[in-house]
Amino acid sequence: MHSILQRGNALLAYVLSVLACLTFACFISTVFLNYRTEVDISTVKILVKNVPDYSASREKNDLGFLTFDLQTDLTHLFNWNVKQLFLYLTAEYETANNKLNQVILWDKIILREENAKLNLKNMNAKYYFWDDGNGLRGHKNITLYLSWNIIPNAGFLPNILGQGSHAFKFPVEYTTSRI
Amino acid sequence: MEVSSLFDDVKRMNMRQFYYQVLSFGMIVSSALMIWKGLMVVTGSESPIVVVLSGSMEPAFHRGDLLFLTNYPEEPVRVGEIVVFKVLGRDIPIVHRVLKLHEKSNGTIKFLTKGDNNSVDDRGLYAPGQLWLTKSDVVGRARGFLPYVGMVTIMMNEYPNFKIAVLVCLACYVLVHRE
Amino acid sequence: MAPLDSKEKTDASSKPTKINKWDGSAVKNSLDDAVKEVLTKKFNYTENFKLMDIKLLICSIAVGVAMFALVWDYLYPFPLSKPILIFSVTTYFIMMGVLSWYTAYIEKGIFTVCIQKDSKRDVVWEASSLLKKYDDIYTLTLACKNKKTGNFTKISSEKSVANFINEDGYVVSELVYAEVSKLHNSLLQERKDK
Repeated sequence: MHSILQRGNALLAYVLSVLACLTFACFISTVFLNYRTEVDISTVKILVKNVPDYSASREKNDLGFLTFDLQTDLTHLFNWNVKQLFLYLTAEYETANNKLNQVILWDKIILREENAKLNLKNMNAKYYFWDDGNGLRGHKNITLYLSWNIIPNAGFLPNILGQGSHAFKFPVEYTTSRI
Repeated sequence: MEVSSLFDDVKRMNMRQFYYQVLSFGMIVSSALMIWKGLMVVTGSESPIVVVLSGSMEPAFHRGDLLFLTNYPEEPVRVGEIVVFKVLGRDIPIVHRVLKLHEKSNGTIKFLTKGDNNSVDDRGLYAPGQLWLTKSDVVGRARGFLPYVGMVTIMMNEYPNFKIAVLVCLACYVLVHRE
Repeated sequence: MAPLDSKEKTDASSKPTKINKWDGSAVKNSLDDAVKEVLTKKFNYTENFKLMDIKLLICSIAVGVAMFALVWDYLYPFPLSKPILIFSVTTYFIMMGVLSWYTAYIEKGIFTVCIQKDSKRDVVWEASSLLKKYDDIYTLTLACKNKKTGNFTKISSEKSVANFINEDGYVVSELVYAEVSKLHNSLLQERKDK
């Protein structure tokens, strides 16, 4: 009665609309959840150097070094619409040059089913802590905080700020020796 | 079915019906166009929906995933956000995460990006001599995510003949068949 | 819109048309055409295109606005073209709303409006039809409006499309003629009775 083409078309349209409805249900069921949780951060060793930044301007810039401890449990953030968490540790501070500086020092991807209980001791930063100028030496108030970007199966991509931050100071003298 | 019989519907139409047929085809095209332009206005981004073309953000985004962007001027760019930016000399916009950001007191920002799946930051991808991105490079910020849907456009771009065939068939179908 | 010649199809419609009888919209369109032909050829009424022309005008404005937005956005790339885009997008969707309102409440499936020119009175005949998807029942409604007296009468028939289309997929115009005349005469009869 109806051609194969018509039947195929009707079937495809139906399958697609069912998939769209399910995806939307998945999205709407998780859109109002609260993804904040507590994080415990502290620094162990802090020093600052003044060396040329060959990756950028080649001028002498302040380069901070630090190791940190981090404890948090993100297991309960996962649900059927969270594919991955992208964790990142940000250092935020103000200098004479810039009203706002944000530098990611460390990041980590946690997929679903992976261990989301973090207990890191004496971790090194993953990325260089270059300042835009010479504003790190003797800086009194640098804030470290952990945030995560939620990657869903389908839906929004929120950036969530962890509860709990850590403020620290840089030493007033540059370290000249190699570490 | 004979080829000539395809056009029987057209032959039986009078001028008004034929003009209406052309208009209804025009309205299908216009609806898609107007939805796109409407999204541009609502999101403030010149391209509110982009398809992920590379694996540099895996495992978060794979080739063929769809991203919804916004680009409101009053919303500041922050570290950890996923931005879509254009680089001089490259046709295809890049989707990467903001790694470092410096904001002057007059509001001008410069920032550095990195793909989650890349081991180094994006300075090698920028235009020669370019060290930082600024707000004018940004096409939009990723706000929503939908998997797989963009595969259709990737296939169409990879097989241009397939794209033309689909478009011609659609146009013929709409023009020839009276609803 | 330029005035169009309603007689341009005389040759084409004189020979029977073969259709794919499983294609609902083709069946409906060919039956509509046959009914229209009865009214215009057999009863010699003049067709009035106002209803269709207004619809075409609405569509033309919508498509025109969309094309304008496309060209403008090309000439003045996005952030500059924002006010024009807001204007065109809202106009377009308003026109789409107007179009659905027009087809649902004004057109109501009417596919032809014919005017019977009489020395005494102006009588308007409207024919509308309905053929549901995957259904074979063709509902034909004939309405008669008298502009002077404001009289309005209508009558409809529900018959399977098999009554008008033979096995080979040809519309049998004699059968359509018989059906339309039946409706037509009963409306005339009704009017006389009043």
